Amino acid sequence: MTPAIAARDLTVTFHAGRHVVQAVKGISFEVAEGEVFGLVGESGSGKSTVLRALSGLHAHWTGRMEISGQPQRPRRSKAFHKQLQMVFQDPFSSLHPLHTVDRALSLPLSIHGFADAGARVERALRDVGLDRSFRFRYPHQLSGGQRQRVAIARAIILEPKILLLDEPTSALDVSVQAEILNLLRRLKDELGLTMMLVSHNLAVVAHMCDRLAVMRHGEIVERLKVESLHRGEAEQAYTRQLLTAAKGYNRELANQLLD
Amino acid sequence: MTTSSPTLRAWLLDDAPASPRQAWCGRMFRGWLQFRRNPLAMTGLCVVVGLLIVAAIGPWLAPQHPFAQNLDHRLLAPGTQGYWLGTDELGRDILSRILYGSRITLTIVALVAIIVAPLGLLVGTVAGYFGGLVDTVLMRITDIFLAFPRLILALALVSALGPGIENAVIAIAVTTWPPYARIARAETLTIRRSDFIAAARLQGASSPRIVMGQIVPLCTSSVIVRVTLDMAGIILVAAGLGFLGLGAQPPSPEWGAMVSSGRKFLLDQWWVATMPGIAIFVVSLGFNLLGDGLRDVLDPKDAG
Amino acid sequence: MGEALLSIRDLRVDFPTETGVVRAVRGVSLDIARGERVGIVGESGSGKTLTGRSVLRLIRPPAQVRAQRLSFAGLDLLSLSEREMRRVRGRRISMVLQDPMYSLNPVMSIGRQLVEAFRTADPSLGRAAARAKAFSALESVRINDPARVLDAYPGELSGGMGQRVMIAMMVALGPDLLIADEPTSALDVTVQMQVLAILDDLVRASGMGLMFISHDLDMVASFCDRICVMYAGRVVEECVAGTLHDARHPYTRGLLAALPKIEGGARGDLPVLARDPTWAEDAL
Repeated sequence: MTPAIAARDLTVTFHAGRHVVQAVKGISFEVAEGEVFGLVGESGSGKSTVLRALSGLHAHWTGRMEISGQPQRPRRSKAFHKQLQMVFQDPFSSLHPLHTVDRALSLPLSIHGFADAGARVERALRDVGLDRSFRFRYPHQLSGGQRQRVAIARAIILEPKILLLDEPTSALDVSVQAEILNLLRRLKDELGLTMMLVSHNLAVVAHMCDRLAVMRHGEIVERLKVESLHRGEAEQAYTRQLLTAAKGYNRELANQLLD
Repeated sequence: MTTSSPTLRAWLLDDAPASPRQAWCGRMFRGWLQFRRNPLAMTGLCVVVGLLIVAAIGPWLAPQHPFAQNLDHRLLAPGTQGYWLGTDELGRDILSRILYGSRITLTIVALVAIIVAPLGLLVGTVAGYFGGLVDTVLMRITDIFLAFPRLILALALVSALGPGIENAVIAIAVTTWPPYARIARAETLTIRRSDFIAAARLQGASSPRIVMGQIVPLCTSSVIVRVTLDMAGIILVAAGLGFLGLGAQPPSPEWGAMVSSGRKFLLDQWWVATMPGIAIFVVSLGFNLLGDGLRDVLDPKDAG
Repeated sequence: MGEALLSIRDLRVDFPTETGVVRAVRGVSLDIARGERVGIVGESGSGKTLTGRSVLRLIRPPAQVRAQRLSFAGLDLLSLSEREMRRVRGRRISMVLQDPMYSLNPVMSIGRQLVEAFRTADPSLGRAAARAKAFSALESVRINDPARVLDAYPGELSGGMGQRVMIAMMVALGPDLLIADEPTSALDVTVQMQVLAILDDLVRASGMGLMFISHDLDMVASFCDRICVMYAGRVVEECVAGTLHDARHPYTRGLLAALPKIEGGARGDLPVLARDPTWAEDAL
């Protein structure tokens, strides 16, 4: 079976004036269809950059990239966007402040020429657990969790096969995080989605993912099955350090941290 | 204006609007509620609305025809013989001329706004969104226009095109748009990297669609505020051109031209120049107050 | 436990709005002793930040702050004049915020800001002496090359480094109480750990009290001595940190259950917190 996402020697660079920074240094991975794959790392590890390159938002990359078996180039076709969508970290900045929920959800439909926009908007809202009264509200009339639901509705309204999730719950309260994670898992099952989840939160990854890769300084340092993560079986010292740190404050660990 | 019925008010303030129109009206109404709390801004609004009314029904209000001369009644002081604001050197009723002149002022202001705001928005958002070479070229052109003092450039243009209202409008518009382009570009630069722009790109939205649908609406409010605040300046430049004889031509009752013709009698018949001067002052102040109030309501930083 | 350093009784913060008064903090009572680390945990809107700010009297009208008692080391904070309050802020009670960049002056070097803070507190201090103090202040938050950091500007520091500088600045004048409002939320876990260790050392060495405001239950439970869980402007549960997992209040239990676990457990849905309106009314 062709993997939903395949990347080989993916290298992503940023150009800032004369400086060229390699944010991702030749990583390779595959995500099978229907799988949830996690990328874990601290800030600057390049994990979000991988998502932005996959989605086509960042064009400066080299290597091979295949989405649903089709080789991709930095510029994407319009049809590509019906296959792959993304949910962003901050629901406060990912919705246009002057557009109602209805308008935000209608935009992708009008771009891709769907006729039954009204019905599809209502169905997408229902899918993410929002009733019809939300349809004509502005983002400032919604809570953080409701905004993130709208952002998810926007991502699934084109019926993509692949959903990229960039820290989808890190800006939310714990109780709201649980609701959003439950929603994402339900959507994955109902819509048969393949997901790639980027997070710094090991517990979220442990809950959501089947497999994961730990990134550091633009490289993958370890790949794990989620069962190994549950048992705390990590090979690399860096992964073990992340595991211990995630369990709360630990005076001994603080003294021997790797920088 | 404040006696909206309770049902209408509830409809406007409904937290769960049932249509895009209701959502939009609700947003406007909330802005209005906030605007209403600012007495100075309300004063400005009254002045501007007053100007609109006067311009609309001025001919019916005016006691005389603005060109009607009566040399027996030259330079009468305000209040004498039914001339509330006095008469000028040709015996024309100053009140009537000011009332008719409001149409000219409003025409100039409206034409300039219609030309300048879209032009500045377009240049600024396109430069800011695309960046690179597009940005460099557009912004250098803007810089060239900004490098000239506004009145001097307007003077040069009018001298080249010939005096007259239309040419004055063109000259003012050409010298006014560059700051708008700068504002729109600065706003675009802060918006461009937002996640909602990234989301729109991910949905396959084309660049024109993103600029027009996502960026322009967010820049519009600051441009509207700036236009309103600039109105005073536009009126003054128009009056200045009229004063120098390069704007509206006699016998047109343009306020600047009226001040100009009255300056010869300023010491003995002060009202001839002062009355249109007061009109210019009041309207400029009104636009400024309105602009300040609008800024408080429209500034996206406070919108939450 | 000795006499309380900070004692709050029935603190209330009200915000008048268009649609009526919003009662953001509704009767919070808590004590902090010297050398004690008290965690205040809650979700957004629970009033935890306002509680911290009330202590420094940083809440501006039209909001109203009332309390039966708001006393700090024998001082009645509510009755102090604004001038007397300024002598308390920074010297006796300090505050560390989530983003150090809001609190540091971006166009002044770190060294100059520290030197100025020392010399304002003690005008007789010479420039060189103040700089020496600034140097040791940075050393005390385990900055390896204080000389370089002293000459740096805030924009040149990483998040973790900026937060250390912030802490150095806030504890420079030896306050008796430090209010830390989400001081590590923007940092990576490992950096978070280092910053917590620094706070830990400072509390142990100086015996100051620490009010640690955070949304992160696990972190607070592992770091603090005592925890107050806030919900809808009230403290709904107060317990010794180690016993958080035996919490009784349904809100606390709901929050703990809603956290995903690294150990996995059931692969099903996470239990979602069902909010009970009576929680907002329950007295402790």
